[in-house]
Amino acid sequence: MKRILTMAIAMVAIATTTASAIELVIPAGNKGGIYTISKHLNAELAKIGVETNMDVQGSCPKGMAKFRSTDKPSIYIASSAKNSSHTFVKGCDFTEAAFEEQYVAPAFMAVMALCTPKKGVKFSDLKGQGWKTYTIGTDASRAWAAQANMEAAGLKVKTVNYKNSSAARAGMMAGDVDFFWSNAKEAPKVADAGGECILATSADDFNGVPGMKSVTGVDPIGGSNIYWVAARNMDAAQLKSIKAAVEQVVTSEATQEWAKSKWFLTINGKSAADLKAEAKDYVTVFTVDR
Amino acid sequence: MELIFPTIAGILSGVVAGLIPGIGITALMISVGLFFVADSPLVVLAYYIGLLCASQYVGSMLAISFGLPGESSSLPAVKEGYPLFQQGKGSLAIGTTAISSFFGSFISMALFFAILPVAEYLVYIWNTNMLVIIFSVAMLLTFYISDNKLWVSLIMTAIGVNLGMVGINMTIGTDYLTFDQWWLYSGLPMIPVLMGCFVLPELWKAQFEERAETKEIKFQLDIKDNLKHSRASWGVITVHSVVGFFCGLVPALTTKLASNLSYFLQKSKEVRYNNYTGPGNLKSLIAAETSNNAATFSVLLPLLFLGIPITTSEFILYDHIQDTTTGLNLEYILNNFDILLACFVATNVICLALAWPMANTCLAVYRLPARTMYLVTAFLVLFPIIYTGLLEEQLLFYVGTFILCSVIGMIFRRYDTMPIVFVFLISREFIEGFHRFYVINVL
Repeated sequence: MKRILTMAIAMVAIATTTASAIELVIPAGNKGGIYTISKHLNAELAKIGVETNMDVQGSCPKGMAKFRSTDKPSIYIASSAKNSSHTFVKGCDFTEAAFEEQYVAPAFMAVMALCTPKKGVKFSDLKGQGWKTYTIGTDASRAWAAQANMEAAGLKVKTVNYKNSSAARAGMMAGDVDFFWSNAKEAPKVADAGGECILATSADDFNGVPGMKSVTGVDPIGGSNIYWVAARNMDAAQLKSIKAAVEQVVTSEATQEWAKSKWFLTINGKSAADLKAEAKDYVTVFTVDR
Repeated sequence: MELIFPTIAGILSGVVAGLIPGIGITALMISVGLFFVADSPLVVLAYYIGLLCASQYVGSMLAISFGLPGESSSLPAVKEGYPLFQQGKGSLAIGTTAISSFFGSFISMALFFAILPVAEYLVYIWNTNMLVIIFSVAMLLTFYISDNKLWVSLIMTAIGVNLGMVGINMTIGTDYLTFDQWWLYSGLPMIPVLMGCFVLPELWKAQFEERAETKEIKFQLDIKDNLKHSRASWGVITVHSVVGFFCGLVPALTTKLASNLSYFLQKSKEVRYNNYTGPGNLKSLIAAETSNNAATFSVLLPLLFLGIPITTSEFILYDHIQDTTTGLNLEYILNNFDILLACFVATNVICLALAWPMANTCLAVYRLPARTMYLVTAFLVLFPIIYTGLLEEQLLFYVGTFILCSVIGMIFRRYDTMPIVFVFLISREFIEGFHRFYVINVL
């Protein structure tokens, strides 16, 4: 009964605020990176007077369908990794034209990591066994990056796709694959299970995980999964205003603290043009057939 | 304290599931379970434990008193318990079954702690090769334990796979039967498929094909006599608690396998020692029901410790847990395992009271007017479809899927349609598992 009453009150509250608020379409369920970021933005934007209604759509295709069909002013948190394969992207992709038209601002970045089931594995030892093909467990959206980066670093690899990162991590611990490739935030869970993340696709060390260049001597390829804000149904003034608000939120001190705790990289100190170009790479360069 | 309400709600729901054939725990988990999705996974878990245990205890009463299997795991209770009831030994059958079920649950719990030192090796169930073997065995056992002929089960498997594979599968890179419609990309929604393909035909069977003659049920409580018979069957209770514990770990089959296997084993023994003189064998009934309840504990372990749902209702529970802010993770479960155990113990004590001293009160539900029963049943079938359809802003899609699946369900209404929904639920995991197996071992 309490839940029914809560839901009813929430619905009335949403109905009364809809007129002025911006729709924040969430192309995911209520967990994962996109939801976490959306929830944070929703709360922080409210503090500076920008009201948004969170609309959790459950999946990327549903979220994108809603974003494309709504006639209300809307924003949408896009993950560049969603554009990483033609199959993965179906129904939730940005074409180059849509990207140019709807891109507002970068929000955060997440880096990937290569993890092993045991501690003490050295990358140089792996490279020494050139005859061997290593297996890497990963979720489908990161498979291309796992393969591209490890081949660039000189390893022969084949990727094994899992439903999600948790399943891939469990698969590695159960002896399915040699390595696990995922968001670097999985590092503590891997460590708890007795493993170790041996490199991250960041320029420098990231929360104690060594940067890829320092380990392999090679720069990461498409190593940052950029979360950026897209907008629709807004005039120029509204766009300018929401861009400023998002930038204010993502560069604030509170957000820096929050991002660190959630293993996100913030955009502070990086050029907006560079970040846009990197996000666009996922639309024009990194989208591959799988 | 916050778990008292969901536990009691779960027990009450379990009583409904046990007393109304067709309204199984899956349907209730879909509908009523939604209201227990809170911040903490413990709330929905407490509801599920109450629901699962109570449905097993009360389902036995229904099977013994009416000859009507509320759950597929109650078939042995129909075969051996109902004849006892007809012989005027209904009170003995209900009483000893409740007591043996109670002890079965506790022996199963003790067995879990006994194997705890080697529990870490359970992680190897996640190994792709192991999963492929488990799923293959589960598929085969489903064929053989279901009441269908093999060819019927094969057709149902084909239907289940096709329904389950609709949508985009990112893991193996397939786009199956989506016709470029975005609303099909995520696949068919589970609730309308389960309601149409499974719940509807089961209700049909219960109402029009298997309805037993309604009669006044009277339960005479005789504590001394019931305890005496239970004590005489102590060996049977112990052995079949162990059988039930391990059967409970078999994906999808769980309690169904436990009760039927124990029944088969005990009946074979009774026949061998010339103790089986026909339907109405108390020890065979006790074996099946003990095993059944022992499995209700072990069935939870793969989900709690490995995140692997192994029954239809657990798939829904898993979904509900993932909708909480905490989600399902091992650390959380370990930190709260004592609370879950306390919940399990309390539930079993309440269920024992319901199924034994209060058996008469439970069975009195059948004095409700038939019209009210129909309305409640119709509401429980339609409400979750409309509610979730509206919630997902896809009402038409949900209703359309329900209509399509109802047609399939009604075509197969004379059969056990469990293979369709079981295969529908596991087909993605099954095919992804085989794909991974191929990539790892062959490519």
